[in-house]
Amino acid sequence: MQMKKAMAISMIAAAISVSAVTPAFANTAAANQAVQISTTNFFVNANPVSIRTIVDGGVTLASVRDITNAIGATLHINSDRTVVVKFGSHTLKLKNASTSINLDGAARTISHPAKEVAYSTFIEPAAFVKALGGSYDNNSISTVELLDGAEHAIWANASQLIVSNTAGEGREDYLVNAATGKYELLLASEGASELVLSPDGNHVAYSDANGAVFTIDLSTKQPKQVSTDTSIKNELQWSTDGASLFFLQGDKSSVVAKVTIADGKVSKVLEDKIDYKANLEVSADGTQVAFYVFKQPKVTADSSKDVELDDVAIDATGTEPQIYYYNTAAADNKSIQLTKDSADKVFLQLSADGSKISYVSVGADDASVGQLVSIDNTGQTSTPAFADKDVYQLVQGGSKLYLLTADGNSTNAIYEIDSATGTSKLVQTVSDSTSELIVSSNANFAALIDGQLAVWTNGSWKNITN
Amino acid sequence: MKWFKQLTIAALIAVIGFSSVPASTPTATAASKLSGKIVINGSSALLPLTLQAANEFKKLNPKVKISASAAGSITGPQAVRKGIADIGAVDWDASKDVPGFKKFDGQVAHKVAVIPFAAVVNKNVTATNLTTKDLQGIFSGKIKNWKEVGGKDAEIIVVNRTFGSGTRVNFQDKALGGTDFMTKGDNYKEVKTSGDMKSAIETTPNAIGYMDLAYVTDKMTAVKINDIAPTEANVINGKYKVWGYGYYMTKGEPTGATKEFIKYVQSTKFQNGSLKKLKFIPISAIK
Repeated sequence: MQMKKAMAISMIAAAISVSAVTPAFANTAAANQAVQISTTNFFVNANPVSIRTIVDGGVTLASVRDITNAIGATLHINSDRTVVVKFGSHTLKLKNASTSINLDGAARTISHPAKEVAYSTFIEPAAFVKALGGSYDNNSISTVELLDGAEHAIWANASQLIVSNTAGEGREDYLVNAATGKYELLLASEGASELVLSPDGNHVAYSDANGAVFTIDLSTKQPKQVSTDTSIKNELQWSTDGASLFFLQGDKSSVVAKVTIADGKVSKVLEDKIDYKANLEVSADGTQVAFYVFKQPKVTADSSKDVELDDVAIDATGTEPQIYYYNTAAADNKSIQLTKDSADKVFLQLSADGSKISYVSVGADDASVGQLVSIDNTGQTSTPAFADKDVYQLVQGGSKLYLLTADGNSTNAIYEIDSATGTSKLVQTVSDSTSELIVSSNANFAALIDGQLAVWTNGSWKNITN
Repeated sequence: MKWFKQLTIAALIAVIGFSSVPASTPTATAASKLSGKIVINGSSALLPLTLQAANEFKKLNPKVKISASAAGSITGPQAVRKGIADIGAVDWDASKDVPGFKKFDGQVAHKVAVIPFAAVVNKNVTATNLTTKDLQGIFSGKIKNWKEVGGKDAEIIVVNRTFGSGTRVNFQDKALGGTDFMTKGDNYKEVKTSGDMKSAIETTPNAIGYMDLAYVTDKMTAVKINDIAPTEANVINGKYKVWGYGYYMTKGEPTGATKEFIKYVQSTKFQNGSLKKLKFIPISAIK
């Protein structure tokens, strides 16, 4: 424990790089001694900023004026040398050598007194920034108001995520800056499907409660109706060329269909009379699809008998979800069942060339752990080699697969799997409160941790929503 | 039980070894650790909703196994009482007496959806606006020809759901005012599930039946009743009366995975997302 604490302190110290050191004298008689003023690199709303700092009694203090300038606040000094800072709706007053500050008319105490050196006032940056309504984390200052909550998120591009939250009778989707957390509303909807991102990252698509399909240009935020077809559409999936959207059609998700973006025309891709398909996956060239099927147990019930007899029986034999594959080149509307085992299956991922399907398999036993399994499109199963840990989630990021797994007593782990070789690599450990991993095509990481969206940046998780 | 441990921020920092952990990190249980098996049986009208919810819930809770089947509403609470199902999906509140069925003692009803029901006819039928009296006459067998209700000269084929269907209970109560169905005849048939009803209406000329609105396809016509079209808007504004709540019945208060699954189906996210997309109406929409 001691060693880890020491390491953490070292890391913080290393992170605060010092570019210049200038000796100066404190302005109070009691502290009339040389104080070194350094220039330290901070990040203010994700932008690098140089701020003067001193170390007083082992505590790093930062220049009030420098922080004020960096966050866009105003500062003036009264005749009694009270420093007055105004930022947004807040007014903060402080005095040299005092641990008492006045915030919006109310006195509060800070743990270390402000100090005036060379006619500049220095203060604990965390206390100062938080008093003004911002957040502070390891010489990183943010004054951006963060979005409340994050129920679902996808990467839009390297610098933005789309974050979805329930709101009233519907849902709101926001574009959120991955570095600062600054957000803007993209769509407010009722009954709309989740947004799916086009392969070029320029558009999202969704279907509304009536089945109509829309796209939104992320640069203009303007929605455009693509199709007026009212059939029920589940699990929209873009084709790699962005020309069409595949989906599962109907209340029973019986048909794999696609709608052409240019003309809204809906056409059937697979009509194999198998109901309740789910987790639709489409190969890069759009010619191969994979999905799993929920089969219903056989129920025997004689409606002519007295209800009180409960003459009903359920036979669930052979009804575990199974994976199916179809190559449109066959043109026979006959999907191929690839699996027949009794394990539960979730998180299907079809490789870009359609040759392999990876998924998380959970055995029939209640104590079974999740395992990553891959199967080729002829039905031959193999299990990629990786640390044998309970898999909670499988996501695809570019050409790699990523796993959120169990780890230590209070941690989860993120593993990267090379889908070509099956080799695995531990990426990092995370809190076991991590409920969802979000990986971009170029391996940027975000995660839902305790209901907040955090982004892995500069070696730590940074919350970008409340 | 390690997942349920309370962890302080300090402990997290020490164990994870990061120099920075979100300062606001409270203690929490990640949803993905939930496990168990949920067996659901009953209403075929509710089956698409149940399986859609199961698909979404399993992505959040991959260790929860869900099996769902449908053989008519009454088999839901029967299976729960018999101990072979955790949830009985049913189109009425089976914890109370309803016409034709006694209450199931000890079972708790959980509202999960508003289900509009529609009288439906084959595409070749031209009488598409019927009164309550017309429907009572047709389904009792007293009106036998479409020309008696403004249609062409053709014998009416009545398709009914078998006894125990929740759709049948609701349609009899709310569309027919509780009057009796015919039970036999050359132009009468019974089907077991909503899917069977859909097939029968789509493929049988001059047929009339009924189903929940979600099952209506463009290969049939949902008729107006007393000049009111069966639409979500008309249910919500109170003009269209033929609807009921869908319920999940449990033996006592649910626990574990079953409790969490019901919570998910009742969540605002599911109610105003996938549930609406499947043409059901959120329970909160009815004031």
